[in-house]
Amino acid sequence: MSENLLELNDVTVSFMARRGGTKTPINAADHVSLSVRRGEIFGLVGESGSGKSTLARLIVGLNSAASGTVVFDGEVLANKKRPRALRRQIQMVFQDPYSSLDPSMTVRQQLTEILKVHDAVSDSQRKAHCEQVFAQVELSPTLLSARPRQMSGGQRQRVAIARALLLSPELLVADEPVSALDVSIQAGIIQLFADLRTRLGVTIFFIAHDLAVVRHLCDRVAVMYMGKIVEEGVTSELFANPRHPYTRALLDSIPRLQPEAHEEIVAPEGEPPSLARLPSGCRFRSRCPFATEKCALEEPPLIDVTSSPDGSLHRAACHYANELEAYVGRSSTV
Amino acid sequence: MTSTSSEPLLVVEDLCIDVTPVGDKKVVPAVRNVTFQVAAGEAVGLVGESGSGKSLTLRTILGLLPAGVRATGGRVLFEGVDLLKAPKKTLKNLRGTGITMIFQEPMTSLNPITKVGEQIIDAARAKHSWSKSDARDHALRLARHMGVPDAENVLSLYPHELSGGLRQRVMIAAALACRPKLVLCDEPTTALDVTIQAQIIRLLIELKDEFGMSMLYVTHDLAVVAQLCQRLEVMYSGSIVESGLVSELFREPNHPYTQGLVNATPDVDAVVDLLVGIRGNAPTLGNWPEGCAFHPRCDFATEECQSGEFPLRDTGDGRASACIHIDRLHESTRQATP
Amino acid sequence: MTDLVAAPAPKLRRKFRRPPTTLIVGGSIIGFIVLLAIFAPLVTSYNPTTINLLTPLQSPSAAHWLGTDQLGRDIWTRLVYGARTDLSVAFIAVLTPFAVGTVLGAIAGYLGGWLDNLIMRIADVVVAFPFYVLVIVLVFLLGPGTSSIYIAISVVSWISYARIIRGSTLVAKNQEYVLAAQLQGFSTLRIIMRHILPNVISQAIVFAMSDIVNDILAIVTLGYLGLGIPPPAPDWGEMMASGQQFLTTHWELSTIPGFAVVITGLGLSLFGDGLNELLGRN
Repeated sequence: MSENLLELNDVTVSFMARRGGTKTPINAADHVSLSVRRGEIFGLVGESGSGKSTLARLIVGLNSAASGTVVFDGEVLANKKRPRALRRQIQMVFQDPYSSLDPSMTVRQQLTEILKVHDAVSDSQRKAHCEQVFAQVELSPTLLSARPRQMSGGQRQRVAIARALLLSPELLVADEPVSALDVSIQAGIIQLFADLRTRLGVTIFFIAHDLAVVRHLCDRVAVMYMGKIVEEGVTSELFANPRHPYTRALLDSIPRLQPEAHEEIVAPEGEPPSLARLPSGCRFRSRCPFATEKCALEEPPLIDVTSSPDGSLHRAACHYANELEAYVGRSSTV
Repeated sequence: MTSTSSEPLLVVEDLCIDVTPVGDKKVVPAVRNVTFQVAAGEAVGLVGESGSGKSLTLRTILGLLPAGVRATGGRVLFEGVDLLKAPKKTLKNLRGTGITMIFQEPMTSLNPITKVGEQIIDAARAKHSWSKSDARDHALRLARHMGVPDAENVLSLYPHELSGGLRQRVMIAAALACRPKLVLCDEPTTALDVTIQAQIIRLLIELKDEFGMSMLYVTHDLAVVAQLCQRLEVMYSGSIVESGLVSELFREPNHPYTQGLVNATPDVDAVVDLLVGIRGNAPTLGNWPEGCAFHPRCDFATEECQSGEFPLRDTGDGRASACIHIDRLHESTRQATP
Repeated sequence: MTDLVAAPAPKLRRKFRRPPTTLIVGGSIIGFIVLLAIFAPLVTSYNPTTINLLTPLQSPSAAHWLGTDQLGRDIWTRLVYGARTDLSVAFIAVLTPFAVGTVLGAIAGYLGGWLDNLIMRIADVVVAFPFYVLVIVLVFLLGPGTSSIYIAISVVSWISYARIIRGSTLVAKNQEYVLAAQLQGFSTLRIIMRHILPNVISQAIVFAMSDIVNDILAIVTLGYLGLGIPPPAPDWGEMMASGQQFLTTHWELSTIPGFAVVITGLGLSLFGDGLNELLGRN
């Protein structure tokens, strides 16, 4: 049993995008490497165009990698044609609770179908198993007879999580599972993920566009921009000491609930470039306040940042990662 | 710009909105007895989650309600004129110079088959009899002012050729082309990436200060309201449950729902480690509980909360709350924070 | 937190909402006609095919509610039995294109690629010919008879279903619940049959309502041209054709069956509209 449950080794996922009349290939994920340890909650954060959803779908086998490998529990995974046994191990929770459940079937029917196709549990045990999984996501078993349209967003999302847990997977990929929910419901779902990891030991790959959510839930975080990982590290370390200008820009952009009266919102300049026409060198340089000529010439590799106090892995893809001045941030409690 | 009168610009008084679901005869209340004001040059936030009625309240002001939805009571006074009873001509004249609106999804609120520059020009010329070239200069200046890079070229593009952030800037330019006194904002940054959202929020703050316009900003995001607005109204199940200054309200909420929202909002500075949601689910339209709509989900509810009316009551210092157990709420918060 | 989050869903029972007016009106019309057709022997005591040359071309009377035709047959009886013939043939004629078109459309939409191309290009070729031209030619070639009618209509009508279903499938296959099914490793067959079709088939059903109208018209037209359901079975088209020669003297011979076609078509259209609205509510 390897320590890393999941490894992405230099994976590239590319699509044909239509621009005007022509089709150009774009790399939605570009030479991405990361690893997820067994039992941890790993957060992947990025804005639109970052490639995070692409990676999620790659991991669960809905995409193929043009190059690079996906390694799960020591085995290299085939792209799309995977054995059913493997599919049990990696499950996904989608973003939109309103379209991730089949509107024409009851919840029970959808769950039972999965159990039947995988022949996971004997006929007589199915009912009990469904109820047990429902209890794990804190839903009353009466909802098993409901159809999706009779349930609220939060309930549907819990059903989606229950569906993902049915086959006792080792890895749960959650693609922005709370983005479409009201904030008062969101907190319950985030807490549920944390509880599931504690109770069931399941490894969670959590994708979000919201750094704040990730801070509350994840052990380690990676930040993506335009298809590349720009920073990666232990959550507390990354938030206390961000070493990539984009991470800093993200942190600065987030509106705070209690901004000091004199503080203004800090916003990074410019727009993200188009994936079809990336700038030379570093992708972030067109918006980076620290960019130099070197940034236009050379694409910065992910390098180790030397300042993590506990020696944990902290990497950033910036030529000046180690030279940036300490991050003061917007909160005065640093 | 200084306001010439001390009267509030917009007064919404006891507004009631009803919805008739398709195929049903039954009429369901969606907003009841909502009362608030917006002064000249002030930004007021209207905050709530889905089902709170905030969007409907906003849309009633300009008469933009969908079929089956009607304002059935109350008044909406803009500069003293009741918009609910005003003839269509009055409303039409108001749009542009009096009140305009910025929407959430610029892709559906901008005309997809017209170049964006044309749309700004049209907005400007609707109210001023400018020549085409004058209007074009005005549009260019406006677009540059909104931070549109390479404005000359961008204005000759169609909406689908622009990014979300640019589209939003264009829409804001078109909305402000005639220097309205009041801008209604229906979650304009919800569909944007967080870095772009920050840019738009900063832009709106700058514009508000510069043009001296008032804003009524509808959103579910408390933090955005904290950046942008001076005052806010918190809505739940069709009513306002709390109102007051942003700076005070978040520091010490006077309503369990507001407290719940604050507790549930993720904190990127992680001053608090624990993220606590509000148990239960918001009631759906037509299924509002008796008494205080929030009581089934409230930790401080008592029997008294299960029936009767709970209007906003002044709590001093320009704040108001619909809760009758504010003291219990404060007691519990005080105990929670060591 | 053991507090179960979902206090039981507010109401699992569906709230009753009044069905659309068009559904009720259309349904009543069609229901009435169908009942008449089914209980034909009860609403008339005559035999539709019995010739009685002693009482031709009689005006409506107590004995003959709508009079008699040129061969002395009771018109009301032929109308009601004609409903039987025409409605049942039309209904059955709709089934095959519905089934075939739906399946082909779902396959084309879901799998895409060369299969999609093939199916759609075949459809394009068939649809290039006007509907009636093809149907008439086919019936003529196959020889008149009810089975020829079924075959001819099927060959031409499946295309509309295929296109409708293909369109809906293209949208459905990007829904997250389909992705979830793919993720689970469900077979393509299972995904199409259990997850896509139940969610898109309502469109085809609504279309089928208007298709029945088309088919009735086609059958009636074929009957008028002498290529329809073979005599002596009563058929509104044949009634209209044979009544033509009496248009100036006894216009009711042709007009009454024509009227019946119109009312049936109206009822079906209204019903289809109502169904569309009802299904759209969800």
